[in-house]
Amino acid sequence: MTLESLAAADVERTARQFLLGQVNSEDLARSVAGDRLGALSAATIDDLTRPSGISASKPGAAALEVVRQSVSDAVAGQHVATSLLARWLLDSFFPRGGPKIPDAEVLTYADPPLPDQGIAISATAEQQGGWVLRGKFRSAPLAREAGWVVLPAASGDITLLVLLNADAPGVDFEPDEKGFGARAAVNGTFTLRNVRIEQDRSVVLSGEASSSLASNFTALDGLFSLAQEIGSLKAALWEARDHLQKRAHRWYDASPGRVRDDPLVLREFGRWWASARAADELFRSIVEALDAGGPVLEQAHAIAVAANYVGRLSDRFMNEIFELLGASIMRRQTGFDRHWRNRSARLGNRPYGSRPVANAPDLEAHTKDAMQ
Amino acid sequence: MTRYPSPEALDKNRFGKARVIRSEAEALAAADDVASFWRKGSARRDQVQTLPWEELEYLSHSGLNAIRLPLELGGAGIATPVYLDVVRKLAMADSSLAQLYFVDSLKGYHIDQLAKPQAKFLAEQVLQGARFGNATAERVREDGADYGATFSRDGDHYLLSGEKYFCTGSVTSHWITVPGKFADGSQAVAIVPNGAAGLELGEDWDVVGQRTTFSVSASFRKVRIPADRLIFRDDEQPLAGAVRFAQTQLVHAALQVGMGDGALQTAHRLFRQRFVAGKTRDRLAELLLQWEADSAAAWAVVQYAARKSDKALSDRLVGTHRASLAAVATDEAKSLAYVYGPQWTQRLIDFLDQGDVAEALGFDRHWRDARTHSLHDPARWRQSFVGNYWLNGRAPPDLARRLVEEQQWNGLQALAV
Repeated sequence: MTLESLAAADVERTARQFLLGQVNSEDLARSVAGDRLGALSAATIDDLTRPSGISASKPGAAALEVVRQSVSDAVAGQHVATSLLARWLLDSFFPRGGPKIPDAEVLTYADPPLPDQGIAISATAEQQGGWVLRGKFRSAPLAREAGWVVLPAASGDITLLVLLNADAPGVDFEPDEKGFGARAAVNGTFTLRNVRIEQDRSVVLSGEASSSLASNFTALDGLFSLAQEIGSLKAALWEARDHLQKRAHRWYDASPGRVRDDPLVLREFGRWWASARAADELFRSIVEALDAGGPVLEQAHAIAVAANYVGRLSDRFMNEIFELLGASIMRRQTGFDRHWRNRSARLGNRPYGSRPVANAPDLEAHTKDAMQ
Repeated sequence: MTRYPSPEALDKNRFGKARVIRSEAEALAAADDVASFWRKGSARRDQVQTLPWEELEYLSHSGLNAIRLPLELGGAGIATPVYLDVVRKLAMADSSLAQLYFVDSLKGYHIDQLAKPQAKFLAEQVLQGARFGNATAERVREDGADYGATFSRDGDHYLLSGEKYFCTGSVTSHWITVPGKFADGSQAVAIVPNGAAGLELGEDWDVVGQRTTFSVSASFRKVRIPADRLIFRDDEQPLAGAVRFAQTQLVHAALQVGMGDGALQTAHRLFRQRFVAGKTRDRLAELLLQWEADSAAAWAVVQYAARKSDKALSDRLVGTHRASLAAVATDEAKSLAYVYGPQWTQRLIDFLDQGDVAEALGFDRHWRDARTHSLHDPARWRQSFVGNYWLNGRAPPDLARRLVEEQQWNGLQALAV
């Protein structure tokens, strides 16, 4: 150790703690292979479907789990977030939490699952001694694996929330074409042809209670989306760091010496790191408030602010980080481009208007906070 | 001719004696109160560059100068994250005056490191509302230990001679702290009363931004320093010094966030008054959200670094790992805050209407202040330090120097045992 060089082990350990570093682990290989195959590995699925005790009723802990899974694999993060949200819908809207769905069974939801201004409900329901559903709707991820789907359905002026058995007669699922990213998170379209719904598997959405629950859902959705952004950012930053540390060939007109000593690289990398710290701290303070028992709705503004920052940061980072890493990062075997592809596919698959960055809370509340 | 506030002028504060602040809540409330007082006339002060006596007396009266003093010396022992919030709130109202504030109160914080009689004397001064300016910067400096001021022994006291530059708070403070060195290279800091014989302050403050800090040049011609007004810091653990220095840098980051937030506050006011509906409103609403998000991000890292530095200093002996985390976290904070301030203060232009560019309205001062302040410490270097630390495990330069000193210090400690 030179006088100005700190204990390498301490720096490495602290960096790994911050970014939940995974380079050289099995996770990285799994994530790259899963991207190629368009499927999560059996080990990842085992991990995801094992009862964890984590639920969206403890949103801080749940959001941390989404980050952890997103670092190991972006699609695993989507998987956890979707399951958590689907089960939250069931627990919150249905009397006594609705029909019990075992932990090992996968739930997803129509995207969006609740009536949302500007997005029409495309499934219709008709009373025929019980509800019968017709129509089409698009799903959130996990549609291929899902045994159950939560969706809204319209019957005249009434809106229902329905728990649909994906294997029921009259239910067809058409997966999307293979995507450029998030390949293992299969979205697609469900078609319903006179699907009969059992009595305890629908609730009528009405009144303030439903509206308040819908606001909660939006906040939770924003929180888990933020968690996925943070996880993807950390994973990509960790891999970029690893690549920079090992990168042997500098550009022929660059300053002499190793790439990792190039002053322009140091500055750029420092900026990304400091920005990632900010993202992490914004997220941490939200989780801390939630862990202290504060309702998620109280954090809606902080979530929107953090999502705005992290969203813009990720937009830049996922594209511009390549500039530091050189042509060698474009070898397909590195799989590094999956970070950009996965994020872009995840965001691109969401319906217009439900992307958290565009979904800022009303400005008056925001103004009041900023004036304090 | 400018009049300077000598220590004897302390009991002539038009607002009365300094209050005593006991808690974080009281400190934040006092900061809001002082900020509200300062906000009035901020643009005018910038325009005409009047010396802000009334505003500074209000500050002295508020008790905020003593919040960093430890409890055992009669202060409030306020933790760094809260102290930085006080600085941010003040900077939102008037960044020049906020800078004068932190120059003061920082000295208060280090008082507990001194020998008991010195600590007692200075604590009493701070508790009475005394303000401490500095004469730290050098016009030409080869390295951090290169001082233009020299000390020499003269009987039972010392003589201080030399030139200083950019002496923030020197015109408006009761005391001026002056670091310098002896012929043998050893270093010390003199506490010089304003108006002392041989001290001459220039009238050369002519700048684009932060116009009312009056950071003039100073010359010292054999200024007589009593022995108990000279502070030797040889026994300070170098790594503790590194973290304390990082804290002083962190205050600058808080100042930048405050400057950006002050402009944000103005942007919100203009937005509410002028933009009721339409596409422009939507565009500006989005801009405000981005502005707030960048503010929150920079501030989150400032607060993170503050916690790291307090944590490092909570140990009797500061360890290398904690010191390095505090130092590099400070660089991370500056990497963002020094970009946030100048970048967003200029966006205030988007909220102006025809006629708002009148000089007297002072909407440009937010950017002028932030840009001027930011240039004392280039963000590009801080960003490089962060990159070098997390990529290569190399200490930022100040910490690297202190690590060398730490080895020598450890050797001396071992000899002393």
